[in-house]
Amino acid sequence: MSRIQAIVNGRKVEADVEPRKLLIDFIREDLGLTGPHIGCDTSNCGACTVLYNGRAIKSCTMFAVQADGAEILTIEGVSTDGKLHPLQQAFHENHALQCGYCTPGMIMSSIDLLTRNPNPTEEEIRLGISGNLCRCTGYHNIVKAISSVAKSHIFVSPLKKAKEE
Amino acid sequence: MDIEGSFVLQGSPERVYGYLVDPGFIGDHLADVENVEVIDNDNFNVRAKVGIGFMKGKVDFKFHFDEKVAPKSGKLVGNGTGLGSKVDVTILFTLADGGESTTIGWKSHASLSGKIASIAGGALQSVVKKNTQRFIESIKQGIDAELSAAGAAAGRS
Amino acid sequence: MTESVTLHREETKNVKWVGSRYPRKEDLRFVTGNGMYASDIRIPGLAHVAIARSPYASAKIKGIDKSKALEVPGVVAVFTGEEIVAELDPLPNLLPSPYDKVKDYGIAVDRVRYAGEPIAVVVAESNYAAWDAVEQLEVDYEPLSPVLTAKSGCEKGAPLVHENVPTNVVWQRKFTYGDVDEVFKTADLVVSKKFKWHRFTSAPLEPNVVVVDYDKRHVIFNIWSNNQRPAFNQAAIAKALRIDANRLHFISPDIGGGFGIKNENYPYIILLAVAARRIGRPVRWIETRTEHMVASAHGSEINYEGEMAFSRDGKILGLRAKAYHDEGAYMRREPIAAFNFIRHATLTYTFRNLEMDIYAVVTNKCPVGPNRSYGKMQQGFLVERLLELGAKKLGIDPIEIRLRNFVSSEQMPYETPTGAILDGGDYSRALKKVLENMDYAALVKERDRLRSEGKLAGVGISMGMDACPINFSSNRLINPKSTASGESEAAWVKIDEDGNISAAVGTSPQGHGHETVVSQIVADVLGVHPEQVYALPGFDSWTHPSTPHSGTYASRFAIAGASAVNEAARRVRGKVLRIAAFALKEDVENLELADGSVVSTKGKGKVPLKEVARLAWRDLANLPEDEEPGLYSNVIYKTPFKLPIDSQRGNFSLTYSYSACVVLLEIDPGTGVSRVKRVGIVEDAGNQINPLIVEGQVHGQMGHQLGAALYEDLVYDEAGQLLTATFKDYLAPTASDLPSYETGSIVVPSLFTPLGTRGTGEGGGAPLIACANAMDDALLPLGVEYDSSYLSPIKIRELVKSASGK
Repeated sequence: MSRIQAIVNGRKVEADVEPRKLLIDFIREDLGLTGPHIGCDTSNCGACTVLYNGRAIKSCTMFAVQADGAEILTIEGVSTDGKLHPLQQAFHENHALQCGYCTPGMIMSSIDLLTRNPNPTEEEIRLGISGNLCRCTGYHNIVKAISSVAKSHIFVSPLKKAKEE
Repeated sequence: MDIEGSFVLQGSPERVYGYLVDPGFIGDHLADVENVEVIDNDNFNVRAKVGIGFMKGKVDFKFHFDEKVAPKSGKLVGNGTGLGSKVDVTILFTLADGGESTTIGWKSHASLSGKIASIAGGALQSVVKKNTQRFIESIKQGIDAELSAAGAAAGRS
Repeated sequence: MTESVTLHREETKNVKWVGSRYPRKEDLRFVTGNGMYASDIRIPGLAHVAIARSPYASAKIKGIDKSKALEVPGVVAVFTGEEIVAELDPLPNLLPSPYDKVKDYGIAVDRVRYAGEPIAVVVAESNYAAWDAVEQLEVDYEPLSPVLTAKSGCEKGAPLVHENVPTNVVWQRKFTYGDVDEVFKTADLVVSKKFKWHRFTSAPLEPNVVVVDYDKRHVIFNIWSNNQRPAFNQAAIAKALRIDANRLHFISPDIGGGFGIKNENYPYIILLAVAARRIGRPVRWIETRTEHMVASAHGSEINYEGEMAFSRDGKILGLRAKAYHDEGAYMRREPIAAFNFIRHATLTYTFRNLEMDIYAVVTNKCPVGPNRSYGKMQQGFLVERLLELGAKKLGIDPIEIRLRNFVSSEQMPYETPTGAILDGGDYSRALKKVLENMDYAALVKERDRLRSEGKLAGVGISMGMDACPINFSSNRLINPKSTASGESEAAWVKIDEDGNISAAVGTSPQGHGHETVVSQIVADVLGVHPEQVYALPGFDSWTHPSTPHSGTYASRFAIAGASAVNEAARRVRGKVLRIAAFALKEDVENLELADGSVVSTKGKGKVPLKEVARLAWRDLANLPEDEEPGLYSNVIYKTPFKLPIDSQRGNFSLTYSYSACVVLLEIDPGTGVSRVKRVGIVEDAGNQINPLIVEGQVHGQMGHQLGAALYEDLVYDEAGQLLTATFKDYLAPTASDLPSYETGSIVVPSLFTPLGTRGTGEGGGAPLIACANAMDDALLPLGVEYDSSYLSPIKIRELVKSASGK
């Protein structure tokens, strides 16, 4: 067992974890944050995507011990002040989700994308989320939702907000 | 998956044969071996490290000599389990007397099933081929070294 | 934190909610990470299950030594197939005797029949420990030679997949309609071709999950799973467990996509139920992706030998085909895919002569199961591909030949030779509209420009049809002993004593937005806003109504589910009006229900719904004499179906939604890789309850169909090992692999449903078939033809090479 400390969704957490435990299992099973999902065994699907020190990572490719000292943001920490984040609102309005299983990971990757590139082309959006699989929507409305947020310049990084508070 | 080939060693079939049916010697030359446990003259266990793509782990093999016709031929059969998979290997070898030298013909048949076969998919063929060739090459060099060492020792005495 | 989050909505007054693009109510919990999926369930004392599986496609199990596995720290129990099966009866199947004797327990006993078949159930304190123990299980196998194709399974002397039945051909029937031999003898043109329909799967992103808690005190199995039709499957589960079905309590919470595949996780429910009862603790199994690909259920795999007869002017005279279905190792819902050609065998066309010779063959591969457009897109592929080849041979434009063969809107309702009654539609309008939307002339120009640049490029057209729901009397044609007929769905609507409105339906959706559409339907009937209707999420057999047909499959919601809810709401409305009429001393005919109140149109005042609810539940002396208290209605809607006409004809679906699709395909001749440059589709789903959701379904079909055509292929090696067991090899397309979609719709209401809706969602495979037709168009200048539903880069590269070498 190794002792780790991390900031998850703005809150300090401390835990003893088995060295081989994957970060996604720590987040889901130990912290009870079931927003990030597991959809594959090979780091292809992106359902487990979270922000790790500000960058989108697939939490099934990391061990929980690697979270020691890191700042992690999951989908549960994205909306603030009782309001949906613009990406969450846009996913809803554009019907960019059906079963919702890929949605948390998809939104985390979109946050990463718009943080690095606030004005992406359609091709850049498609490439930006190409680490996240969706089996319901055929991606059409997901691309539309991300694009609508970019075009209306309402994107704010949820990390910045968390820091200001 | 079937692979075959042959190689030539300087030495009589009688001298070469002893090495080919020695569990300790064979075990030492298998690729990526972590541990060899010799049980008796015909049986030995091998724990091998396997890494194909993102799949890494150990496969435990039970090897036994199914046939021994000294100094002409032999058949080594291995069954491995691990990583949710089965690996079945058969190696047949024949020795042909060439006077000063011996030609060793070999045929190996390997079948992989379960997770490794499924996941590693197309990568397997080349991995098995590479490992088999490494094994044969290692045996060849090993016997070569032993024979020349023995020869040198004999010369000195 | 998230409880206080609200959705921002535009306020709209006085609109009909049915028919509006109402954004979904479900979304809030999903976009905030608060969805409740089966793997999110937490129960105290939960133990974790991992399943040990066969590495061989076919082998005898000579022994299982579990001693080392039991030594692994944290292991609770290890149950071999033999130990599990001791408590089970075999799962029922649909096959006629003697093939009904094929034994299927969901776990192997002394023989394994496909690589990945369960052989033991391991229970441990953690998922990690369970997998450690699986590794330590020692199984002694004697490998046997596997049967890996339908054709080889038919051969004399082929190894038997199931040794207790006479052959591997477990179901065979030839269906003949009209005078097939005569039209083929006298036709101006006969085209014949062998086609391969490749094996693929919709692979929902959430793998299968089952949690079972056995309640010893009440003798109840509490079953949380992502099964997409638990009420449908409960009879089979109860029979296997040798208990009464009312001892099974099913909960399907949010489901992460199903597409048919999640009908098929019920064997795992049985295995987990046995394990939970044995150890006296709740158990949870979460399938890994690899397990899902290897052993859940695959879409069907077919070798077609087809021919189509034409007159000189391009009229289709007849279709004749042999179809060899590779069914995999067990017949769970099969031979439905093999049989489903019958639902709309002639598609959108008028030809009357048809012969289908069907062989359903068991093999040592993953069992075939329902998969979006189950058996329907396959028939579309056969018809549309042969039609395309005929058009090319006759020198008739592919659009023109379709227009000449369409059933016209004036002929509706139209009875096809197999007895299907097409429920209205305008096929030529749909085709013309998609061509117009896409600017067909410009598309052809673009194709020619690509060709001039040295690329291979093709334009492809296809129609698709989605027949739904299922008239279960069709089972009688598979097995004359079947006594099933029709289908149904249940719903209830309730207004409680404070005026709160709730509704529930038995459909257990998987992302279809039923909470939203149920709210829209109820809102319209009761004159309230959809936000005032609480539609129960998911499915719980103790709170939701259901029938043995309940579930979401076969695109049935817009027919059965919507009709049941609509009728339940109407009955509650009737009661509201009667009670209000009594209170206002007004005639029911003079009352209207709007904005949450019952209003007299003759100025005799109004009663708020809340007040009617109080009267109905709490002020019973003030109710009309003969009125039962309460505001509640539970309706079982019976889809109007009949028995088969004879042993090979009948109307086995109620609505026949259809689509017309056009694609522009570009192929790199060097690599053989295809890319869809543009794709457009026009669909007619009849009246749409929520066009936003219908459009989403069309997008989803598009993603699956283009994925299947271009990227997704389940490949077995010569030993029966699946080589595409992860998303590294099974190439589910990403956003950058797919284009944006040019969708459109026309609305010709269904003649046969209360709301004029048609079932939609599965689609009829038009995008996939259009890709295959486009490939032929692209290869035309090279003088070669393509023969598979999968546009394999390797095969195409070879084909191009061989053609250019000529």
